[in-house]
Amino acid sequence: MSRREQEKFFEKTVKEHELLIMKVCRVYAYDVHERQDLFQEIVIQLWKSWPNFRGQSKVSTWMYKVAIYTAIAGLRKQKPFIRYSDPQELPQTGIHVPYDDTKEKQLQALYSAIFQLNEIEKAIVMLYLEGKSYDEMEEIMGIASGNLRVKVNRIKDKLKQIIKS
Amino acid sequence: MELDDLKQAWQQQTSEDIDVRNDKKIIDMIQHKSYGPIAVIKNKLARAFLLIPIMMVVFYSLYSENPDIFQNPLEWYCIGIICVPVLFNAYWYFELNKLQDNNAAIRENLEIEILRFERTLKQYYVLMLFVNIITIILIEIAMSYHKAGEFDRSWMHVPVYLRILIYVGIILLMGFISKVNYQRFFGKHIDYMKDMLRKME
Repeated sequence: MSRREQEKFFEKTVKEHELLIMKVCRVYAYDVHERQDLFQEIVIQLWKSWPNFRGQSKVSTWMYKVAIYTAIAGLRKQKPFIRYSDPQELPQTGIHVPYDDTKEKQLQALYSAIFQLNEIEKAIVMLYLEGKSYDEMEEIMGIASGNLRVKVNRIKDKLKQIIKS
Repeated sequence: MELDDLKQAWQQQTSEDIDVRNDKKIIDMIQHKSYGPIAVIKNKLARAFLLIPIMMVVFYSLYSENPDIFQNPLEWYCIGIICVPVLFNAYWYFELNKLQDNNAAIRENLEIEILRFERTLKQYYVLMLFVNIITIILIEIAMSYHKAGEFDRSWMHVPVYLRILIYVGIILLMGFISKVNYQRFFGKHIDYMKDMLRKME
């Protein structure tokens, strides 16, 4: 396959799973500019990792691995493209969103609450919300499924507390 | 509001719901340079490549001015003490390319990255210690054969115990400088990765 053909195939694959990358950006990046930067960085890392992806796992699993790892590791960049999401530094208006049964409000409240979790918890809760099985989560995160179950329960409690407050 | 109640809303999100709005095409994005942490470290290390031609010019001009300059072991040491870190940085630059494979699980990737960084740092410290010990041996040899010019005449009068103390002091100081320098350079990144790994326990 020529480079041009590879690029086309890569573009098609990324486009098919674009939403997955967007969700990672939404969870890890603070504002729209940071999300755009993170999106681009994830695409670059996916492209670098592309020659080594031989279809041993699902495309989405591979993409989650690269996207989450890029988001986590990217936080320590010298010139950060993502600000460290210290809950104390977050605008308080974003945190205390009153419960509303509309989809949009619910998601806004959820994102605000997720923002207060640590980087690993963010990844776990995102995979859980995506409906990934514990085995798949284990494949992506490298954490044993038993440990993941415990973590998910703790995160649920934590999120409940955050949303209540 | 339970987390499970929000699963459906989460999964039904569309790209319009998520405010990423990147107008660039995927193909254009991959032409850009990465600016993740590894890329930033690689850029810093790449500066070592720039030093190689500069050093060659400096050494050549010194040699053309005084062809005898490199007959003294101390001058050879000076070349070594400059070349070793530069060459090591160049070696490390290529080593970092091996970290570009993200196909492993996130935890495994973190472990590999930490292990590589720590191993390379250890290699660097051992190498610098070796260079310093070689220097001391060279200085002592140079003095014994009176090859160090004016320097050996005054240094020879320093008592042995004091010379040993000064050598130990230099080794400790060089080790300290290397550690501070590399901590500033890579330490924060390694600490952050370790913290992430701890959170996965």
